[in-house]
Amino acid sequence: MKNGWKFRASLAWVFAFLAVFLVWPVARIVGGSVLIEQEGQTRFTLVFFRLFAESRFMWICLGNSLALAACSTAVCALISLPLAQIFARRDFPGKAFWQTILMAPLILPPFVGAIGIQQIFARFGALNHALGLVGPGVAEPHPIDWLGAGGFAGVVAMQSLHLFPILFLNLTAAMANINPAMREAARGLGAAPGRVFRTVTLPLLAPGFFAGAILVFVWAFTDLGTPLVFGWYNVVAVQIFDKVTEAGFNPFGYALVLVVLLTTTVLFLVSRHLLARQDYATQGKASAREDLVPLRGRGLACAVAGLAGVSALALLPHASVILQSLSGKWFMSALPQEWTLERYREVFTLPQTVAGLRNSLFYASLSAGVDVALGVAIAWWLARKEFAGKALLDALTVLPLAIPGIVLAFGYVIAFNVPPSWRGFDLEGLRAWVNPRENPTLLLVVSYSVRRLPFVVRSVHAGLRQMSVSLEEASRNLGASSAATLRRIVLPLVRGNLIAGAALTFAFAFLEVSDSLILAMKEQFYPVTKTIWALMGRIEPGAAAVASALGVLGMFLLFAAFWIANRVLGKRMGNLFG
Amino acid sequence: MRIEFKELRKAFGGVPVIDGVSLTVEPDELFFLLGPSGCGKTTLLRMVAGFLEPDAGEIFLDGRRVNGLPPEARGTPMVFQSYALWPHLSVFENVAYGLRVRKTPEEEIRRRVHDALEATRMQDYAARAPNQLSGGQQQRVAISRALAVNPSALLFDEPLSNLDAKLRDEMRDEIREIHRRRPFTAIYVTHDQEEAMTLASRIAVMDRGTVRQVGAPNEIYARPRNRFVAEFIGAMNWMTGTVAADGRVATAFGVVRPGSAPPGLKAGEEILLGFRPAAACVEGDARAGLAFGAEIESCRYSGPSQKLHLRAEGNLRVVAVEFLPRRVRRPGERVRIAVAERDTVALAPE
Repeated sequence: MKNGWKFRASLAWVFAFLAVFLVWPVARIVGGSVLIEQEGQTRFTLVFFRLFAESRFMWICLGNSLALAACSTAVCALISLPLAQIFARRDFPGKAFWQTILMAPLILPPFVGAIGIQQIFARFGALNHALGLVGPGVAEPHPIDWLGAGGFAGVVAMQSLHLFPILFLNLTAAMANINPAMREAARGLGAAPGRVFRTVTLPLLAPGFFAGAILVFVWAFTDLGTPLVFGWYNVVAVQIFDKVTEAGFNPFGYALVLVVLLTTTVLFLVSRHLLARQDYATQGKASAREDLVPLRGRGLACAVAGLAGVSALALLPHASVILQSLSGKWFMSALPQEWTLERYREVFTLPQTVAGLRNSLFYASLSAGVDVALGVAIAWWLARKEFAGKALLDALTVLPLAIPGIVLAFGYVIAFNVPPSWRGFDLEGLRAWVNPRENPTLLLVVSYSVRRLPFVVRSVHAGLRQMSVSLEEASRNLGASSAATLRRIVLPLVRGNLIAGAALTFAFAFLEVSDSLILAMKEQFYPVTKTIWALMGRIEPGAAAVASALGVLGMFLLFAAFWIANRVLGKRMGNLFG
Repeated sequence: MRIEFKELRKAFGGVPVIDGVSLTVEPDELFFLLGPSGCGKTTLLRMVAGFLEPDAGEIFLDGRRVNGLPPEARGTPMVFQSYALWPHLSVFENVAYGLRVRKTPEEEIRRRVHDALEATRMQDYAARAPNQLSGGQQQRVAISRALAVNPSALLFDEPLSNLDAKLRDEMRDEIREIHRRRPFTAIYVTHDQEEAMTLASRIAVMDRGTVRQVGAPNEIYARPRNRFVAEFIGAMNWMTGTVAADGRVATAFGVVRPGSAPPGLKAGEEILLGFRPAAACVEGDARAGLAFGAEIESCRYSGPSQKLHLRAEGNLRVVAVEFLPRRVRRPGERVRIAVAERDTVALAPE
């Protein structure tokens, strides 16, 4: 079938969008780090990389970031592997309840949780007071440094507690995909359960495990918010954040960003390769549905104790943030000295917080809308149409997965640093719209959308693949146009995937830290996360509590979004984080 | 190995799936569990393997009670419908797995893997990865994998259901040949009655968790003991009859001594008399048997035979198969049908 002009025009628009907001910023980063301007001429150079390589400080930062990511990933794996094993194979009372509780970390940005955690674990925090190690009556204070090593342990704990559900979801999905006959065949040949786990389950699980682990690793590697709150500044993310304020005129920043981008790209390619291998483990549908073994007696007691322990840890940040938001005064004591709801009133009256909520709702809704429109169009074209540039479009929609938020945000700042005029052209009008120093709205919305686009496309694409082409052919056959078929047949059928994709894009935009911190430069445009960040920087008493109250509100909003997505998607939630 | 079930019972969520099954599988038998989906045949097989525990009853392998024994301690490898070859191991390593578990010396592993692959004519594929093989080849490797450990019993769980019709035919011959050269006890689950008829030493026909009849294929076919078995194995024409004093059965189409009859029929009893469509001789004559005229309602020609749907006298609908038909018959045409009395089956009404 020949493609009409309407299709070609829409395709051109989508390509233009991706070129401007995805390819161009990345190209600027690469260009800025290898090109140098001398005497009006542009030359290729690797001098910035040499400077980078010679800088001891940069190596320390890179080493810290890698260590941070490795530790967080390891802790996540230690938590998730046993959990996934229990959830994939066993049946026990309250399974659905625990599953929900374990997802709770996803609705609280770790840097917000860090506020509460610091209140509890700081040297003169609540825990040391509760233990009687410090306090008014203690003559010789011996506070325990719970956060350890200048915050390293704190960052690892916060990141692990936030990220383990992602690995857990990936692992459970991977385990469920392994045909139970694979294990039964081994048992039938005389292998005991331990040997079956070692020789069959683990090797088949490995690709899915490493793919999930890489996801967690990259997230922790490029996380900006948590190290900032814990004052652990010698990591690449914080260094990039600092370089942005130098307006990208410092080529050192480019080189650093490019190193991060190369690292994440390589890891991303490795995980793609691993996931392709994972597919083979799922071949052959199970001949018999797996019989979940019920947990009883001691096994059940152990499982529930473990789940309760993990859940308590996972909910600690939430609890501490809620506690702090309700505190009138909480200083040098185990529990707040005064309780109040005043902070919530302030959230809805202070101009700063009201603006933050309004901005975030606006940005998040808009980016969800953009992703739905782009996602449907791209997924449908990829699934059903043949056209020149299809492979390119496919690659471009996957690309954002390899680009961390901090890199994209850095790219946006330098790529859209529109000067007031250029070669006599007055660019003031354009500048007012795209330069984040003037108005970050467009770039914030676009950055949220672009980074979430791969997930929405994948979600819709999966829905389309499950749907027989003949359903659409029947519609065309009865005289409906291509557009009418899309509207009346395709959209209603993939509605579930679409709603879930939109809800999660919304949640993501609301949660996002690095884009928000970097791109929102003027206070009137601050989204919620940056407002919280700004409030935490204030010294006036109660600012941290207002930040917490704002965090709690955001938490409930996100809970609603995830709840919707979960209701619509059910067990396939894992797909959206893989 | 002799396998015995005694009064096995199993329920899922209060619904009985196995409802009192007792059976004995003799050494070196290819014993079939045949029945429609949901009849409990796979559940029974998985209980032998140890993947499921019966709620009540006992399982004996060579006289040893195996209830509660884990699967790996039973020595009953399974061949799965989905092949279940491990994709991360080569064909050789797949087949060697059970031997490695048994800590067999490397030299012997090599020899026995080769022998097992040779038995299924897959010896040239040892170095391949399973997903480089076709479905039929994968199932051959799966059979080799099970054979390599010299199992005392082999369990087949619908092993040919994922293959297309032609391959299925080939694999059937293959399995028969392997079993002939190197006999082993096997329980084979299938819903395909043709597969059971061509391969089985004996068949247990199952329905809703119970065994309805056990016997050799020809026995099950020619002397079904109830209507379910008779109709599951193939089509059947039925009419009513009355038992006469001499034990013969009187029907509207003649008096016959049935080829198969339940024991203890009493004179005057109302019974069912049936015969297979293939037993109906079109335009034939029966010296001793049923004979009647019928009108053709429809005719389905299929080359070597044609199937006739007939309306006999007394409005009885009958299906007959005419072999090597000279011409395609037309609706409305009248024919004479004869059925030899040894081809008739008497059943007490249920």
